[in-house]
Amino acid sequence: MIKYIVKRLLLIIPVMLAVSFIVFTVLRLGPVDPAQAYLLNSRIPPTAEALSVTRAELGLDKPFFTQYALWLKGAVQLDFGVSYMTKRDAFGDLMYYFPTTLKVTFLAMIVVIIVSIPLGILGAVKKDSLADKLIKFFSFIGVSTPSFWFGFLLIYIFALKLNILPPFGLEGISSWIMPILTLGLMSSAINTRITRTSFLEHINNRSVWYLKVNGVHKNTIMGKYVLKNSMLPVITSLGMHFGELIGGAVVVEVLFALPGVGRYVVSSITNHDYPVIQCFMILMTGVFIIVNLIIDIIYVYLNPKIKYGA
Amino acid sequence: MKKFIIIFFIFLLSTTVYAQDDSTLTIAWPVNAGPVNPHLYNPNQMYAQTMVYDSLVRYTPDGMEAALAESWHISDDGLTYTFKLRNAKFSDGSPVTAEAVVMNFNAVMQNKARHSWIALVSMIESFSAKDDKTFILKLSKPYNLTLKELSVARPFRILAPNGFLDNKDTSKGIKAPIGSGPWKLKETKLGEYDIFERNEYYWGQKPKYKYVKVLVLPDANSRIIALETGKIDMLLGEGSFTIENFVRLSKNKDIAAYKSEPRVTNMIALNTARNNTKDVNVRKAVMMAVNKDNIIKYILLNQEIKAEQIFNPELEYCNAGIIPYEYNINKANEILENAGWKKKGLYREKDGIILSIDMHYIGIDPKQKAIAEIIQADLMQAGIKLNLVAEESTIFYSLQANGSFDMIFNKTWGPPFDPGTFAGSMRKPSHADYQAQSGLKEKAHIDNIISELIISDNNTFIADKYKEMLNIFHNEAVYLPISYELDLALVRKDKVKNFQFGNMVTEFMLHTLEPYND
Repeated sequence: MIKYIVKRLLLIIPVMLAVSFIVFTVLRLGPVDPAQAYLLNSRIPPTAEALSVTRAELGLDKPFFTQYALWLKGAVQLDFGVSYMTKRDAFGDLMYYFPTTLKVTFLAMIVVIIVSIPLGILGAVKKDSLADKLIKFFSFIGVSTPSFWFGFLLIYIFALKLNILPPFGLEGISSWIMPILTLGLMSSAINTRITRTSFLEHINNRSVWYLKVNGVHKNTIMGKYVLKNSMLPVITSLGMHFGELIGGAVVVEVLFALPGVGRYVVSSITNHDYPVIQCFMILMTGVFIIVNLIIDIIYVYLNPKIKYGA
Repeated sequence: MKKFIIIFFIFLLSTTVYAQDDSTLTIAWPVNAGPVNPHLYNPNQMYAQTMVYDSLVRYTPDGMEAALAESWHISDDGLTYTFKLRNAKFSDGSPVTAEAVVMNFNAVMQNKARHSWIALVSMIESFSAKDDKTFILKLSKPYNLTLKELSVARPFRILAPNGFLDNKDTSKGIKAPIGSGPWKLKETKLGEYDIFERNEYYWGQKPKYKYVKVLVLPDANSRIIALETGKIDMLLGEGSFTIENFVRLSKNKDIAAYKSEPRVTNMIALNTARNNTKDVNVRKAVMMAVNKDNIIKYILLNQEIKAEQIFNPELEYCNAGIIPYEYNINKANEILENAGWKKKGLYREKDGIILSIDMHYIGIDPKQKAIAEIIQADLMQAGIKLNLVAEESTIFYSLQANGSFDMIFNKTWGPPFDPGTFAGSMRKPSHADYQAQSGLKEKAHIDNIISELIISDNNTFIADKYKEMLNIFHNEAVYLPISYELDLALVRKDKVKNFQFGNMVTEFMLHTLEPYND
């Protein structure tokens, strides 16, 4: 197992290199000149002189491979360059904004787990009852509701009409409620369905009948056998939802004015701010590789029959 | 478990809460103010630069007025400007001296290419401090827009010597944003807010508020909700909210809605050098086929004023006595028919070529899109096929700069740039106006007119030249003026009083505001 983990960790290096080159190249294939984007953002008419000064200042006047080599040299020392728009260190800024995004994502993930697993199990255990129908209805509505719309609805009700929650910003616990509900709704709905289906699959398994026939207590069967086995697809789904939640965080960060990385990166994309986009892509590649690795390790814990690298 | 719950709540609470009181004015802006370097552009926000720094003179629609310079004198040949500085102090208590002004001009001129958009930079020959309070600026040729260009938000605002880095090169950054304006930057929290504090050394009317807190709210809807819920006291500035929200909130009893005098002209430039818009008859037909009243009423909700020429006739020298093209679809059809554009089905054709025009707009700008769609429907009535092309904003401006358009949205720069500085920019190929006019046989003449009028000190001569230029634009149908845009502001009546607009789009007169309960 250790050998497998080390191998997977070593694989990060070539993957990162490949991703960095692809991102660096693709960004420069577009028709947009970031020097012009900078000048327009500054509300300066892009005269030929101003464009040439700005290109030199942003390092865009050098040949492509020189630009890549210089960037790579810095990147291995965690110097991903200076943002074209904010003139601040891209890596430093991303690290500044990351905690808010991680916090909102982590809290939304907790909501997803707290809501979806009990509801999914309840739906499966009480199949076709009123509770199951209500849970199915919740899943259906949750999956179909766009998060920005749900966010606006929450703001309208709780901030504008009832005035009991702050509409935006970071003003203590209450300001996190609407963002995490907005972010967690869709994933909760999806995960409830997955949990219910997986639980139903295992509840009807022949091994469960065998346990029942042998007089094993119902709670032991559910807790020790069914729950544990039915969690494998749920864990996979949660792993995928982690990425989805980080992506979805952009919407809540803009909507609720949270100083998170999603909002920062989206504005960087709009402004063609290459250093920030490159740095973000590299960081996210690393995060996804590590999250996937953790999920794979959890698999082994849940099902010791799984063997990697055998 | 208990321990976990405590940690969990500490984790949630780990966020800053800023105490607010009556002496704090709270507004919102999409991004942080930046380092507030007076000589640089993004990320330095112009509203912050005008709050923190003074210019030598201040623009007003009735003429220039004293700012850091209490008086000035222009030599007879128009080449030497002598500024007498007032007894003012920077926010760190150090005195404003002519030597400090020289340091600032040095820093600006060291990075001349960066500021090439402002014509004054290319005309400055030298500058010096005659004595502690006298600053002398010498030009290579007379330029009657000198004072106006000195008054804009950047780059000619004055940083205290203590704010410079040791190398005195502000293009590399500044040590601290120390100015002589009514406010000083107190605190910045990235992605959350900026706090400005009253400058106790300010030479003019001291702000009534002790602090201005500017929340960073990137989303326009969040800004409106913030105002409605009383989280902010006021919203102003270009793009801060939509016209629809302005109209809606102007009916709210708690909110006062203000409109400024007309600021900029929104128009569509027609390329006289390209495809079917080369034909002056087509351009004239476009002028007559578009029903601007509908645009003003249904898209701009009567919050902008119908425009008939590129510069508002209310502006100095701009009342050119032009008789506007009236909306007349029959006349538009007649002009095209006589010019050989014959109707075949929905659209007209000439020599086998369909009368089709490409019009570019910024894809994410709902106002431009809606106006473009109305124009498309109107032109169809004249047998003109208008192809609407949505563009990413940087690409949109590239098209303007390289002339790859038949019709494109365009706007003037507003005060103090209109009409002089904007007209001056028409001589540069990187401008949509240059490209749009480039097919005119009078283009070289227009450029000469502009070059002459910006150096003249004879008002009659200048007015005549503007009249001639504006008449050429009108007769050649180069621009389809749409509207004169106003600045809009929404202010909570229960929180703030004494609101007034600045004289420039970027000048927020926050120092004149008072808390309502004072």
